[in-house]
Amino acid sequence: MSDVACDITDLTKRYGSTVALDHVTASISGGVTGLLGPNGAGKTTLLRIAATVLAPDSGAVALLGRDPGNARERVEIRRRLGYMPQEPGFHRNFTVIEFVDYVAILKELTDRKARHDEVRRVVGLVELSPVAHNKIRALSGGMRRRVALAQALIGDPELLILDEPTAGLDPEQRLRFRDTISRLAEDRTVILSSHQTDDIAALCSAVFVMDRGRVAFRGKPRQLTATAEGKVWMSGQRDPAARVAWRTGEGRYRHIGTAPAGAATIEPTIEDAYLLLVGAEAALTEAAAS
Amino acid sequence: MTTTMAEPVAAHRVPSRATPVWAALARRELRFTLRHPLLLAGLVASAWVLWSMNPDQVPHLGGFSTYVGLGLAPLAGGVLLVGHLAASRAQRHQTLEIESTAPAVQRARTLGRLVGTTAGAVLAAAALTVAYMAYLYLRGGAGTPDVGELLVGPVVAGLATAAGVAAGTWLPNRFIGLLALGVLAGVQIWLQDAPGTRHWFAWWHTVLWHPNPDLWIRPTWGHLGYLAGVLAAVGAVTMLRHGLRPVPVVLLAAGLVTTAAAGAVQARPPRDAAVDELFVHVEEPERFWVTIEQGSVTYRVHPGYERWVDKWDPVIQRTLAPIPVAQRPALVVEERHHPYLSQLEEEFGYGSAAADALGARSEALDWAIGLFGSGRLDRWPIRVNATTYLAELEPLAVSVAHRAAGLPLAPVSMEGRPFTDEEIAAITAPFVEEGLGDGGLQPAPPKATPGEAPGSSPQPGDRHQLTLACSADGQAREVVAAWLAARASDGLADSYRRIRAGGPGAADAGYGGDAVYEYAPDAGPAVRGVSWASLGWLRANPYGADTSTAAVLGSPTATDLAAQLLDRPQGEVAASIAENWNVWTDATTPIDAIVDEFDLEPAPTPEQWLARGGLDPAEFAESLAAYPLDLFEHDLLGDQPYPTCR
Repeated sequence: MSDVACDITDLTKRYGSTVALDHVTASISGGVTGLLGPNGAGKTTLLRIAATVLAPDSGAVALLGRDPGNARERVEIRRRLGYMPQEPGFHRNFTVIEFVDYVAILKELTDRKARHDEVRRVVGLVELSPVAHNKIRALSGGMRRRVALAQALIGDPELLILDEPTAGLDPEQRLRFRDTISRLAEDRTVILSSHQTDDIAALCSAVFVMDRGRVAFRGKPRQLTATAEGKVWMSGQRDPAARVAWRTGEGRYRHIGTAPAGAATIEPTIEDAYLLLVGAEAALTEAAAS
Repeated sequence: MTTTMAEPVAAHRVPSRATPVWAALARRELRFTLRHPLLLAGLVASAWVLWSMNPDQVPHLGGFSTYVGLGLAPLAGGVLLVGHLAASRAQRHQTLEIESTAPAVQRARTLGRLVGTTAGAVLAAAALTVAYMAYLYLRGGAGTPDVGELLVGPVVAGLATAAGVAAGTWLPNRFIGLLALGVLAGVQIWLQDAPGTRHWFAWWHTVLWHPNPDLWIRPTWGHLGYLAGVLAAVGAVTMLRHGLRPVPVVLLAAGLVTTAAAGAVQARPPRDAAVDELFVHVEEPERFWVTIEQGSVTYRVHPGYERWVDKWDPVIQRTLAPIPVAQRPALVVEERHHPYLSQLEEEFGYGSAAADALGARSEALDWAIGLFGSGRLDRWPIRVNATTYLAELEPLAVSVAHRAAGLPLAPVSMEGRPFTDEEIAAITAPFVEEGLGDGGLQPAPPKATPGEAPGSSPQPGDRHQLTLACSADGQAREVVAAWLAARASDGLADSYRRIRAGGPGAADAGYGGDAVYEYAPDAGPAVRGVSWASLGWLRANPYGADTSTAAVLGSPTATDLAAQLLDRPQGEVAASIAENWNVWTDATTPIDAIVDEFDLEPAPTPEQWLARGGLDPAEFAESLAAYPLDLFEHDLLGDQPYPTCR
């Protein structure tokens, strides 16, 4: 069996006339792989295909060395898969424990004691033990996302797919998430999407930047950051030549684009590189959305 | 802030699959179902319905078993919605994405929900059924619960749940459950009211005030088989949502075949053996009776009803207490069954051979029932599939008192002989000419004898199925009997006092003694006024009987005087009556003697009675002349058409 957890070749997916994925090819293995991209770039569609929620229109997908198009192999994949959707729904009258337990049953943990142990383990893992018996409807948004992560972790899956796991979290919660995910990634493959470029920088060993259904960049985060070398500069005035510019809290302007001659370039961040890559319009929309 | 994980990421890589997912899910769904607010609300509503059905009747566990189907209808409605909500939960809460990435296939999830919610509903229904029977038993219920009828309720609850799951699986819209509930309720109502044999296909039978008479011989297990067939078919239809697989297809076929076969069985007229068995119970109760001797009283009851003797005996002993021991009658109290066989024709379709046969036998049986009681104390018959009234202790006390005071006990056995044709003709002449309806007074066909064609003319001396009473108005012994009975029954004492204070309309006649409502006799226009039938009931009600079974007409005068006696020092009254027992119970001793002896106020005249009841005597008489429906009203006006009790 290949070490590649997710092998995608020439994948295409359409919703009516909208092309969500346009001949995407990607190979993902070990560690944390991040998907970056503006809204509508195709990240969620790609993750849903990788999670066996959707079937592609064309192209080939192999997950954990198996074909999700085959019903029997799809079940085998699902036995080794954890998935946290972008907007997870909950049975709001359930308690945390009940909901996770319910999903655990669906994940074939039918021995009661073993299941209860596993449920307690994953609930503890996302630090929800103190509210384990609270109704989900009474939890904050951040806590609910942790419930969603907990259900994804049931059964210690080999492939963990997380769609924007840190959306809506406060900095402390994001830090906890990072810690949890980085630990999980030690012995499995984690694929996550995020608008938070610093999460990608902090967690991911590989990053894909998607734009309009295509892969605009693939490589390591530092390689992505390097694409912006010499293209970020500061000045006291807004430079109309910059693709993206904004006024910092110190009253100076940070510019991204082709630096004019003599400009004082600075060390770029992964966010600078991302903004440079996906374009100003999309980036500004993305920034507003974030 | 700490970012250190409290526990390591442990390895649970191999899921346990010893138990099928659907079974584990079913357990979980069962727990959700049992605590669901709609189920709990259904339980409360069903408990209320069960409690409110005949709360004033002494429970007959066999007969009351037939209430469970209807009583659990609210629960069935609630769990139908629970089943639908469970089946549509993933869609409603947007958890489909999570569920669809789990290895459990969709049909396992559906099967788990179907089994779990259905089992939860059945369990809840069974628990309520058991609680209901326990409650009835603690209320003094006797007899043996009918297990088949009891199972109808839980099975219907399970069936409704399965229907909800089916609706939610095929149509996961949140409003479909309510729609399904409405449609199903409509179908049930339509079936309930259906003529002929179609009503058998309703999930349960509406039995509000009396258990459906035919249920006694209904093949309950056929009905359960029919319900089980429908349940299997509904379950199969649910599972067919996930593909045309062999198991649900076979289950659907088996369910439909079972539904058709068991449905036909349950709608089939009863077998001769079943009818024979029923008739044996009614005609030859001595084959089943258990005899219990308590002093001078002999009780004959069916097995399972012995505990009722403990209830009857204190009342009888209290009634007899003031009577000198040597004067106390030897009493025999018998428990008799009386199914409403006359309705069998309707249940199985008029004109059918089975209906004709049943009709002939029920007619003969009615005749037989009319002969009960000659020479013996005959308490109000207990019906096989009905119940006795909680107030049964009151007519029992009245019967004992009448027996002790020398008054007749049964309408058609007055003085130990039947009415003659001449007597009947004399009594009914003024009214037959007016054309009494089916419910009015009519000579019944004579008892059929072998070789005699049905419907041959009545012969002088024949005994007729007439429910006629005699009048003891003006006799002191009626006051004595009323006083004896009221001493033993608080209910009677209260009733007498209310009548004395407020007139006949003040008595709780059981169904609107003082009610004013639209009443339309068969041959006339609707009349707004006091129900004549109710007044007839009132005339008999002081003795706890009804107008068709009273042996002795209730006398407002005797009631009034007995109520006055109750307010005198009881020791003195008892001593005085005991001292001259033979005098007071002599038919020739006038009522005025009692008035003088105890210094009582004279009772009101009939006009005063009507006025006390809020009635205009003139209007009452005018209406009565227009609609001569009941002899009792005439009697109330002093137009005495009854023979005197001798």
